[in-house]
Parts: sequence; C-alpha cells; structure tokens
Amino acid sequence: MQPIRDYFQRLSDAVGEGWNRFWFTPVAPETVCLLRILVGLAATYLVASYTADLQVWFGPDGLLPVETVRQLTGTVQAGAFAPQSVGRWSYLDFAESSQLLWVLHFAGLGVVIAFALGLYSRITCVLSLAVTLAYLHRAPMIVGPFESVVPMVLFGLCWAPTGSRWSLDAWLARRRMKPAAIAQVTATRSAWANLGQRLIQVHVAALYLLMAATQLAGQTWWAGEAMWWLIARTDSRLVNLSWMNEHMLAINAWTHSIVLFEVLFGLLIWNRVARPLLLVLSILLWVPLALVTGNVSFCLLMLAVNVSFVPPEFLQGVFAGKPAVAA
Amino acid sequence: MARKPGIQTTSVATGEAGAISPGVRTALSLGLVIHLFLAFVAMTANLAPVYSRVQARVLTNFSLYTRLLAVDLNFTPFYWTHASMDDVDHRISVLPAGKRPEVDSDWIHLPDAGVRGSDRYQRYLRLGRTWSLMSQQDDITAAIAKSIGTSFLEQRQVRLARVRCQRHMLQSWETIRGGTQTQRNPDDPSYFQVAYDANLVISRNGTVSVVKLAEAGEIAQPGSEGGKGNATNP
Repeated sequence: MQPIRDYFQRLSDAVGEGWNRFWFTPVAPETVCLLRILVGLAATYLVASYTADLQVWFGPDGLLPVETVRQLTGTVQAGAFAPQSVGRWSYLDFAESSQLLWVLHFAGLGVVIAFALGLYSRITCVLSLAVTLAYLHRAPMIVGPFESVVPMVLFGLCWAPTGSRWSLDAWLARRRMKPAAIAQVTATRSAWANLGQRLIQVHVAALYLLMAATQLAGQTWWAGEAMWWLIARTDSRLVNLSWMNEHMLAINAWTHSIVLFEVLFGLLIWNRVARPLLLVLSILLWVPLALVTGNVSFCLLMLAVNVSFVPPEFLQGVFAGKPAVAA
Repeated sequence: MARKPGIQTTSVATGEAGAISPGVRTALSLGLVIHLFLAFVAMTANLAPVYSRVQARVLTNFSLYTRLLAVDLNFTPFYWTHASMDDVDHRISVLPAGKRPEVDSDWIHLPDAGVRGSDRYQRYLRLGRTWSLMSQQDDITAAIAKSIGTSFLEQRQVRLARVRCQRHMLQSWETIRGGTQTQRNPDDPSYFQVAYDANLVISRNGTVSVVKLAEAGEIAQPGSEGGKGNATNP
C-alpha cells in the first residue's frame, strides 16, 4: 500500500504546485493594464454603438419591447432546462420611459469610459461588466460574438489590479499620496494580476477550441467550402471576393487553415516557443475574416485579447524602448 | 519529501511581494474549479446535439451563474457558417401605406442607416435571422411585426402597410461560373426567399394588428421560379 500512497502523495503535490504556479505566481501588471485599455475601448464602443438606435431598439415604442424579448428568449434563447427569466437580468428592462433609458445609457457609457481611462478601475471594472451584460441580456437576439466576448474578458480583469499602470488611478496616486502609498497602488508584482490574466488566457484558448469544434460539427468546414459561403453573403461582407470562384482549391485551403489554426492556437499557445508565432499568425486569421464576414468588432477584439498572452516583461521592454524577447 | 529541482515552489511563497495568503488561495482555487467546470459544461452544451441528464441538471441548477455572466454563450454562431438556411443574410423590409409592393424601391430595407460592418448594421441582420428562425411560431413573429409597425408609427410617424423578412440566398461558385446573366447577379429577386410576410392594419387610435400572408417560403417573389430562388444552398 505504501507505494500507492506515495504515488498519490506525489501526484497531489505535483498538481498542487502546478496549479499554484499557474494561477498564483505574482507577475507585473502591465499586461492586464494594457488589456484594460483595449477592452475598455471595446466596451465603450459596444455601449456607444447603441446610442444612435437606442430608442429604436429599447424605447417604449421600440422594435424590441421587454415583452417581445421575453417571448423570444422563452423559446430559443433560454434553452430547455430552466425558466426563461433565470440569469437574464438587465437594468435596462426597467427603463419604461425614454428619459430614463437615456439616463441609464449615458451612465453606462460614463462607467465604461472611466474604466478605459483607469479611473477607480477596481469599481468601474465590475460596473463595466454589469453594463455590458445589461445590453447583452436586454436583447440577446441581436447580439453577436463581440458582445459575448467583452464580458468574458471583463470578468477576468475584475480580479486584477488593472489601474496600476497607464491609468488615472496611478496618476492621481502620484499626485496625492505619499511614496509608500504610491508603491502600494502601483505594485510591482501581483498574484491578482496573474489570476486575472490566466482567467482570460484560459477562456480565450477555450474559445478558439470551441470555434473549431462548432465548425467541425458542420459539413461545410470538412468540405472546405465554408469560406465560399461566407464570401457569398453579400449583405454582410465588406469586400467582394466572389472572383475566387475560379480558385476553389484556394478556398478549400483557406477554410481548412482556419480550423487548423484555431485548434493549434487552443493547444499550442501554452508553449513559449510557439506562442509568438501563433500571435503573429492570428493577424492573418482575423483581418481577412473581418473583411469577409463584416464582423469587424469581433475580429479586432480577438486580436486585442491576444495581448493576454504577451508577458508583462515584454511590454515593460517595449514601453521602456527596449523590446525584450518574449518569454 | 524530495522535490524536483526544476520546480519553483518559492515563486508562490506567501512571503513574496504581491503573493496571496494560503487561505485566500484555497478559497480562490475552489471558486476557480467551480467556475471552469461550469464554463466547460455550458460551452460544450452548445456543441452537443443532445444533453445527458447530468449535463441538463448542472445547466439547470447553475443557470443563474452561467447565464448572468454570459459563460453560456447562448448558441452564438462562433462557427461563422454551416451554409444552412439560418446562416444566410436576412433582410427586413417594410412598406409604407400607399406604396406599391411590387416596386422594390417603394420598400424600406432595414437598416436604412449605419455603416456596413458596424454592429449597428449587423444587429438588424441578426433580428432578421431570429425572426426567420421563428417563422413557424405565429405569436412570436406577429409580436415582432407588431413592434416594427408600432415603432415606425410612433418614432418615425410612418404608417406601415406591410412587413416582411427575406432570406438572401447564396450563390454557388458553379452559378457564377456558368449561370445566366440573371443568375450571376446576387441581388436578383430570385435570390430572395420570404421567411415571413404580413400586412399591418393600423386602427385610428394607433393599435397595430398583424395579418400574416402565408407560411414561410410559400410566397413567390417577382422573377422567381416557385419562390425558392435559384441559389444553391446546401
């Protein structure tokens, strides 16, 4: 029995050490701070993009009154296993007048702008998550992948000291506080920064694998025709690549390379040698997809969240004018 | 117990600057395990053609968490396309009262504002897709049609006579290579298939009533052959 006991002891120790090292090793906060700026801008765009059509969509006489949305979510969006209302809370549901809707909208816009600027970033990050989720839950039938990914990244950032660099928080701390307090606010290394960064990394890698898995659930991706059917969507696309009908082999290769890249990204992004190459190659994935699908915001967001895999030491080097080799 | 020399156990030592105390670390670890487990179940549920009872039970009991935080991705089409009827572009069109339905320029195609590629533009396409997906559920499709009629009346002061949602069918590469001039035009009326079509009756007090014209796909379009369009759509 002793060898078996020793084996499980060693297994337990190894898993525990690996787990702690992965999630709780203190790291510099540059990466999560840069993500705060990028995702804060994305959240600002998300909320601001509703401004022109706010009353059209959510107003008292809008296209999607709360009752209509409840009818819609009760059948397809809520799934078969739960009451339709569970987990679909949005403060926008309570905006029964145009004036209140405007107030809530601009308050939400103020919150996400404050977060992007790094003002009270601990609080505004959580509030930004609530704001973006409110728009997502108010009308889930008109949201796309962009609106789904923004809260996912914000959730990770909620755990991290995102205001400790390049923020109004850090600037105010330098102006108002004593050196000891400044050191506390702009901590050099933090396990919380690592926790937030790792959460985002895990979700992003899982998202790549999810995309590949959902694509392979359909015939068109196996047949190598999926990119053609995206090119053929004339209302969505930004560029007309229908001339590629003469080059179906290229279409096949393009389709297969997308799935292959998504699988490789999800699995090999954890490898330090492969990581820089995958991050650069992801530009070749997302930029053409943005032009073909018209989902510009989502494709740019996926490039932005790739920053979560950039080590803070590299960013320190870049902003100090001495780019370090990515570790 | 002997440690492997390569393992940096000191890197998470609680005494190090910025480290988290063991108690908090344990609580966080528990939370992480639960979160990642629920995220895994919710994400894979979007892939699975059927649910196991365990999966269903987990999704039900923790739906408050997974839905509230949007961990459950709600069947967002991350696959981009499977070239099904639901994966084509959908166009919502409305006809003001007094205009001629047979004249395309008399219809207002939504969105009538916004830049292609913007989320503002995409939202109308997504509403059209949802409307089309639900075309067999009369109460829901009528509710959308009624909302559109009410919205135009109250917000734009335009009385609508008719609303419709069309699928913009896809051209196959064979059609572009060897088709006729008409077939090679992706905006030819034969490429549009009606998913939902209804007349709107607006009373004097502004109440909008919906009269559905026909079942989805049964209405022939001008220039189409049997209403199905000639797009090859696997």
